[in-house]
Amino acid sequence: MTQLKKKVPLKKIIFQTLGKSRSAKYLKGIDFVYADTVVVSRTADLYEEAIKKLLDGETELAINFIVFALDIERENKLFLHLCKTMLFSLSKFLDENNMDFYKQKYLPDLNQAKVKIREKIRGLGDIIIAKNTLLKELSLELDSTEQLSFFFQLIFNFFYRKKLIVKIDSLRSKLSEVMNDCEILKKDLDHIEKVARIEEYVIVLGLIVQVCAFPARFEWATQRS
Amino acid sequence: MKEETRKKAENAGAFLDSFVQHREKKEQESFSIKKARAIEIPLEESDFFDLESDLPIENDGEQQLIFQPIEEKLEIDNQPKSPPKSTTLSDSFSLEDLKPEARQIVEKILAVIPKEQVEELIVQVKNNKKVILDNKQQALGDLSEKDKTILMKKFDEWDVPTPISEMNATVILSWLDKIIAN
Repeated sequence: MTQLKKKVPLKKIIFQTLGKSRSAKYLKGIDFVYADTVVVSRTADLYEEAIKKLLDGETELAINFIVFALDIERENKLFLHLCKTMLFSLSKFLDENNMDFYKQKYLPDLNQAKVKIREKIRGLGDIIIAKNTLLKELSLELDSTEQLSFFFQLIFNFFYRKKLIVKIDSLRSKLSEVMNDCEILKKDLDHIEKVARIEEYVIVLGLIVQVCAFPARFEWATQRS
Repeated sequence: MKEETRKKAENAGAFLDSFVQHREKKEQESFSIKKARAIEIPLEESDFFDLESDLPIENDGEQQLIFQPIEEKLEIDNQPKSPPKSTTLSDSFSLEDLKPEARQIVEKILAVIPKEQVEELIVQVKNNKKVILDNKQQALGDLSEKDKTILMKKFDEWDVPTPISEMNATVILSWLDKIIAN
């Protein structure tokens, strides 16, 4: 296997692969605070932080620590094993959770799908507001007919009020339909966001594994651009 | 003038080489850290080159600026301190090596997550590595059969002693529950 003189920098590869905005959460930088009270190795400290972050459910920060640790000590088995187990668990989760179904439903990619669904939800939200306003107006109008004299009420009961009530009922049922659609889209969005987030973790962890296993393929990263 | 600059650069280069060697040696030793935390400072592209030594790989004139803080760090490293506990994170690492606070958290989780689940995950990761290679996200890129064989070998090399794999598996099971629920 090709031996590289320089260590392939994981940070740079993640930055280049994911782009500035997507990679930022995995590359936050680490602040070492020195003290003589506790003696630990630097990577041991990072390992501890990584597992603490995982236990808190802060995956991006945990990956952040893994990336920094492996850039310091590439052969560190603690992190490599952690990375391998994370990648295995997530791959299994995506396989078992019909990831393909969502990918097919929202082709070509989940991030675009998220944007589209958010737009749809916003559109439906506007419709709900408009219909609600109309409903309020019609209800007020219906209420006002009750204040009319007995004679006028009779006429309105037969003609106008009946018409108003039908209108209000139909508006209510339409409103509930739109709200249902909106709920379904919100659920889909939640699921897609989760799946997309997990998919991104899989990609980052996969990248880490690739760099550690096949560093020669990423030799470009050792050169200053 | 040019000659002088060249000489200066050569001297700086030689000094840097010896300094990098010194840093690498130091890197192998343990040293005192109270804690490490992630901070909200997005990295610049130039940061990607200072991984092993905190120094630029190439001698391009920036070294004076970057050199100063590292010298200060070295002074800290040179201060008398208690003997190092471990030189690197190796097979000898165990739950006892964690700081009390972290150990407490991990012990709590170890008590909560059923041991069978932990063992199942360890066995699966060991025996069913193909799940990683065949994942539909193609997280590992387009792998040839030869690549797959190499990677399988690597995965075996990355195995850790049972107590650590149990710790990792427990943490991951708890983490999975969290990210799936969210």
